Amino acid sequence: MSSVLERRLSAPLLPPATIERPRLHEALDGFCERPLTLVSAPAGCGKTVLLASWSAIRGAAWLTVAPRHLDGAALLADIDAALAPTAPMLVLDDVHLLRGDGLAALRDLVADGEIGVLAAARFDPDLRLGRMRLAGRLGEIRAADLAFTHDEAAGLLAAMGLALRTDQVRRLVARTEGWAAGLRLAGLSLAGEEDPEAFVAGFAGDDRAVADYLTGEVLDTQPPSTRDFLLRTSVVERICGELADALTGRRDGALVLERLARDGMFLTPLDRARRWYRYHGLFREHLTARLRLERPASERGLHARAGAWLAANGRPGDAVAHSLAAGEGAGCDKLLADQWPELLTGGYDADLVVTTSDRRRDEARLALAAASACIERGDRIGAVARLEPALRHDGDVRSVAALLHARANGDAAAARRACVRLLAPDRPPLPDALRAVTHFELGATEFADGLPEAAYERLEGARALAAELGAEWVMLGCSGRTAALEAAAGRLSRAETAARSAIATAEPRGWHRSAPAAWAYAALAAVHWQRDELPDAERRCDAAAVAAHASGDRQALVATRILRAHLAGAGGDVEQSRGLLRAVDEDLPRSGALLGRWVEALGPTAWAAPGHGSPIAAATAWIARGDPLAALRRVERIAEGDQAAHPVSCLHALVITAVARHSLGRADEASRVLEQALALASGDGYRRPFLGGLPLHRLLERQLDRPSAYGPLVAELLEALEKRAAGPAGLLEPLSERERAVLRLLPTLLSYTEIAGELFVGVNTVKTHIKSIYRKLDVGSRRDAVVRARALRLI
Amino acid sequence: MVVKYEIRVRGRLSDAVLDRFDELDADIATEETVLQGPVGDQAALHGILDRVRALGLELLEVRRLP
Repeated sequence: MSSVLERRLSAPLLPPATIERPRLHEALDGFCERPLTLVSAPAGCGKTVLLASWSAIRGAAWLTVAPRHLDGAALLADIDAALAPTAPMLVLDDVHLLRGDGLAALRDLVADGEIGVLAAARFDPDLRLGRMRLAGRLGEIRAADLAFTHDEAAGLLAAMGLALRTDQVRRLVARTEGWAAGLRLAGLSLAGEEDPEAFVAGFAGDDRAVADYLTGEVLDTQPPSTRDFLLRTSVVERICGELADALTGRRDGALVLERLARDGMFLTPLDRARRWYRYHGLFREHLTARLRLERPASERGLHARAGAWLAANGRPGDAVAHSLAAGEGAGCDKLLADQWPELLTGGYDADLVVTTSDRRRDEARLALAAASACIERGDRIGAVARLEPALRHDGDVRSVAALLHARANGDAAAARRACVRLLAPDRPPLPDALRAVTHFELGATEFADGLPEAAYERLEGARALAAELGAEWVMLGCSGRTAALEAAAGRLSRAETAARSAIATAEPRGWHRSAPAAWAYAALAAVHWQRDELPDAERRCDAAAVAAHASGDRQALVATRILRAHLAGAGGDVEQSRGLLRAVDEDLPRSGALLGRWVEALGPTAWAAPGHGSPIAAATAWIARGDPLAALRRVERIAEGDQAAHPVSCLHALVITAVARHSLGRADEASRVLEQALALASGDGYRRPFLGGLPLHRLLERQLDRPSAYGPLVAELLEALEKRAAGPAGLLEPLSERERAVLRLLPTLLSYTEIAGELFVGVNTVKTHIKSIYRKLDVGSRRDAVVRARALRLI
Repeated sequence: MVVKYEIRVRGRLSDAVLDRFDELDADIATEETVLQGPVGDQAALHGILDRVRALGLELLEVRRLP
């Protein structure tokens, strides 16, 4: 394990001139009993310094969040490794970097409450803080608490070797509002200032942004050679002496870094040997901003130098990022080609990768990265065209080219052959990045080819590999598609977790228009649909459509249209719904098992007809037509537990069976079957099968009076049905003109014979109409019919 | 459809920091700076806010312009 990695498991070294802040230590001590203490404040407020000095005294374990912690399992493993058996307290730094799966793991850990977690973050992480605050389970230290008081500021400035008057300290505190980084920057400027009086007066009277102003002041008080060193080295996130030398062309890097750190120049050593350092993020941002403005031409050259040094020193990911930033003419193309496996996993700016490749047609390895970028953008033709030279290559380049070629053509068999060659046991093992890519590309092909089982396993494996490498782009490619597979299999909770994790990765990186993002949005929309959260489903469906169009993923587009058809149907727009389904009809048979399952997982549309479609759709339609026996015949086998049937179809079949038996007067049987359906539905939160228009009202009411294990769910469903009945959408089938006429006379005291006389029809005709009205209103008596018709504003 | 946003931060910003927001127009008042311009989508907006955060600027207001 590298020393930089080790650092993450122990508290960072304190900067020089740190002062004790007893009031904050006491606050932390007081929060120790609570499962979560959140230290939440912007950069430079002194969160890490506070927690490091506190944990040094109290002996709490320390973990700094890293990219691989996006995987919840990796996070928990590292927490386990960090925790000492004697100290059930953990400081977790940089928690704002956690997303999706990792954040969910932390949420569960905090909910367990077995260890006390002290989390530092630049903004409030989504850890159900409101609920914990109300329950008194949350301790909080925020920016206002971290602000330096006058005495603390005086102590800090004195520790920096400055002798200031009380009124000067007061003005600095007022101007910086006690912001730790501001005070430190002011102290640094003052140290090199000949006239402290004038500096304090000038700073206090200025209305420029504090960090901006002070960075300028700090830089201006440095000797030119130090200023040059700071600007040049700001292009990298982590710096060591040799890397600094590569950037400055000097040979004193290690010495200068040590001196700057000692002077408190916002440079933190990352290891005990004091080899690697990191600038405070805020300070570095201002340094690079100045570098760009003052020497716009030199920035690209510095990136190129950094890239070369990092590549030569075993840091391919950072090397590629810097080489791409260097751009054309910086001499980085060969380096980028050498790092081709990294380029494939990185999710680097696709346009940049394609332009780099296109200006170096002689580099087959760059073409692989460009082709992969093309495939993810839905440009299969562009991918195939770029792969031609690589296919004539040999070795791994040719095998990966064959894999991508098969991928672009949607040829799963050829893709599998290429993977078998790459993963063959008798050849030297692939580098980790290539292994992750190989598994991912094969999984994605199997997914596109509609082979759900194979794709699922492959993508899960690839995701785990990618998580180890911190390759977020590959992780997104896997988890977005996994979410769709979970949704198509009807596993709502798992679909939701995977989809949210994928979306949380995609959105901040601008990957929300990629194919895997389209699948993640579609999966989440399907989850909302089945949970009867229709506005959320609509919103996610829109996002899925945008991503599917932008990425050109045809199947994601079809999946989205099917969803949209269901939503339109539920909203009463049968025409649009039918139209959408007709439009995807020809795509469906060609797309393998995945979309077939997707259709089944969504259940029947609201306007199902008995003539065609699935047994579920037909049975639903027979119920609506008042023929429970025909409905039963359709779903009998599925309801009895046909192994081949889709779990969501089983659920629908059970609900239909219950309704049919109930209307046949077999109330006890109906109740028993309904209980089975409730059992299936409750775990994953299914609501739609009960709320899709089947006449369940009375059946559910009966269930409430019986010993059911799902009382709260039944009550919730009843409430939803009643709310729905308040609008005309609650009607199973519209009433005919004649039925409406009969209905209008029901509130009167007229007998059936008298009603028949009023309407000039026979009494049997009236009875038929009334039977039909009762069925459509899902009621059993004249009185109930009137109540419900009024609720529906039909009379 | 491209949406315009207006982002107000505390203090007058130097040219170096303004250069980091070169996709936006800047209007510098005495005690605040108003950045304004077309923002492609939510990801672009969050990118801008991320820069505001990284530079330690104090965010006063984000407004979608009609």
